Amino acid sequence: MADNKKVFSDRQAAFLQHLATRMVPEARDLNAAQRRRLRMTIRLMLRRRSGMERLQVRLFLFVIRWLPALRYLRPFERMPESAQDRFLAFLEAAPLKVIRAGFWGLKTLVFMGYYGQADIAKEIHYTPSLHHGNEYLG
Amino acid sequence: MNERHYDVLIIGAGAGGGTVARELAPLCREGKRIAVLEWGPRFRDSEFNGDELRMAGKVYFASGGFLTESRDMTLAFGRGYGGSTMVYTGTSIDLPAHVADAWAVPGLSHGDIAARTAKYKAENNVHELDDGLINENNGLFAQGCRALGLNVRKFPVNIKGCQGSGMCNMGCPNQAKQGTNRVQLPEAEAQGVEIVTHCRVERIGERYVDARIEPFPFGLPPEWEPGPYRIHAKVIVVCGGAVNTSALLLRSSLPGRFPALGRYFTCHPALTLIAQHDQPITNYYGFPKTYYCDDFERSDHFILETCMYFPFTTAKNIATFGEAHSAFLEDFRKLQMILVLAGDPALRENRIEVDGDGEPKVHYNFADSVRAGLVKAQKVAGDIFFAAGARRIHLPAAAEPMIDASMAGDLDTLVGDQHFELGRIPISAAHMMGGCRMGTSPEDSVTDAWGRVHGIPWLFCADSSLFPKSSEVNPYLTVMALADRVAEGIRMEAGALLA
Repeated sequence: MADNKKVFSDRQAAFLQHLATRMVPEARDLNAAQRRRLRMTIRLMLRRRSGMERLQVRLFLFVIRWLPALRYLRPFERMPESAQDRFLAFLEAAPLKVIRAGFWGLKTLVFMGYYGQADIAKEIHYTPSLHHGNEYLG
Repeated sequence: MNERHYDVLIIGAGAGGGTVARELAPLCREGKRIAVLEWGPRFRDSEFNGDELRMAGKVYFASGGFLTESRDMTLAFGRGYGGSTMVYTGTSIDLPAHVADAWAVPGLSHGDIAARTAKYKAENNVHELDDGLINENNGLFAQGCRALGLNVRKFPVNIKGCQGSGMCNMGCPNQAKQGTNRVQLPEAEAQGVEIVTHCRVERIGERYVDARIEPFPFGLPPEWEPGPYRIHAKVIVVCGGAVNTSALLLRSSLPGRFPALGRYFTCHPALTLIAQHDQPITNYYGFPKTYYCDDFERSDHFILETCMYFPFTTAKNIATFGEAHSAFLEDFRKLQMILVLAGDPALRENRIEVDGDGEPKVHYNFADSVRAGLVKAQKVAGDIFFAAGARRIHLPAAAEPMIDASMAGDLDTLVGDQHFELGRIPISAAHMMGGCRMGTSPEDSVTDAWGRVHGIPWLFCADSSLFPKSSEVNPYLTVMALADRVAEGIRMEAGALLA
């Protein structure tokens, strides 16, 4: 799809890829093509959203990356993994609804990029049959 | 600007628009010109391929993830020839008598709705699924309910030739669901009604609409050349669904004052609850939605239904991430699902508005009764899962969303309103209702009991936007019944309206 709307910088995309591995540990094992599909899926979805929503996602990524630096003096991805997970868990159950909703939105994008891939669906044993599903019933 | 002239324009080709089109189609024999303007395309049968992300992008507005303004619920509504009947599951339930009574629309009786509903149940091949076609995801729900002494019922469904793809919500690849795309719209076309797809109606004026043909890069090509159109008609019937009908009327310059327009929106907020069994079960093979339990509909305003979704949709409905999330999804074949639908009250502040570009915005606050219902429903669903032998369950409004069978006796303490954190809990809705509710006064309604907009004799609504309150059950049959009634009203006055 021809679209020149800016979604992410390369650095943001790399950070999103890192976040994906915290949300779906198996994302660490994605091959290059799968990683590319994950990013493309998210980009495509955000292109369909308003400019304001894209901005909110970029802003949220910035906050996740740099807010922990106030305590750890380093960006999110260089924190210990357990601290990364604790921080994400804090966001997920944050006192402010806007933060919780933002985290849910980001998580949804990652799940879309990961579980939306046909070969991942096969890996988790999701192999539907378009025209013969009833034949698999006992 | 291209100009066209018709006697009747129907905006939207879903449950309402398809019904009105077919019911008015006999007027074509008398030389009347009728057109249906549908925003989405007409899909080729081969396009329903079950690809979760691609299909969602094609058949739903906002890929099925239209967010409310408070960002704590997503709304799913279809677009295309057949509208949401293309992507529903085909569950066909009558409007309960007590709901019709609570609607309290003078001149609209439950008997009237029931008689019209019966007509569409017959037309759409509504029947109960044979036991041999029930998969284990559904069977376990029934087993769990019965073990707990709950009444479990079979859904009447409108399928014909179902092959058990499980893809109902992405559009049936076997054309088995008897939606308006399979029944009423083809009949209407055969009688002379024109269907114009890829056509977005921008506003309604005095007996005309301004529309634009903007082709999507999928589906069959548009019937008209791309570009702007002014389409004149003696009667206009709006059937765009609760959100889009309300938005269209809001951005149009209608004569009169409509303080209730867009308001009293309801949507049956829903939770998808998931359990994990020790062994694979048949879940995504076979028809996905066979049973429901409405024991709590009157007392706690929720119903429980079986359901089975796709990998991404399932993943986003699990309110956690990381190892626990992955462990739950490691083998999709072990999952059992229950959908909770809350019957929400029609509150004036829950409303559809339009932004500066005329795009719909939905404001929705969860009533206390909805929160309470969704919390209790999780406990009941948890009991059903465990009674059916689940090893672990996922309940989003629990202190820890993943609950092992060893904790089965502790659901009352684990699940509570204090854990019902909006924004964290994945809530979705697919039954948008209200916004142009029927009634007698323009102060608290938009149309009369025949779907006519107050004070505008040529303008009608005929979709779920008419519902004065929620239907408390899956709404499509009621939409068709009301649309049938609106069409009858137009036919009765056709001499004057279409002169």
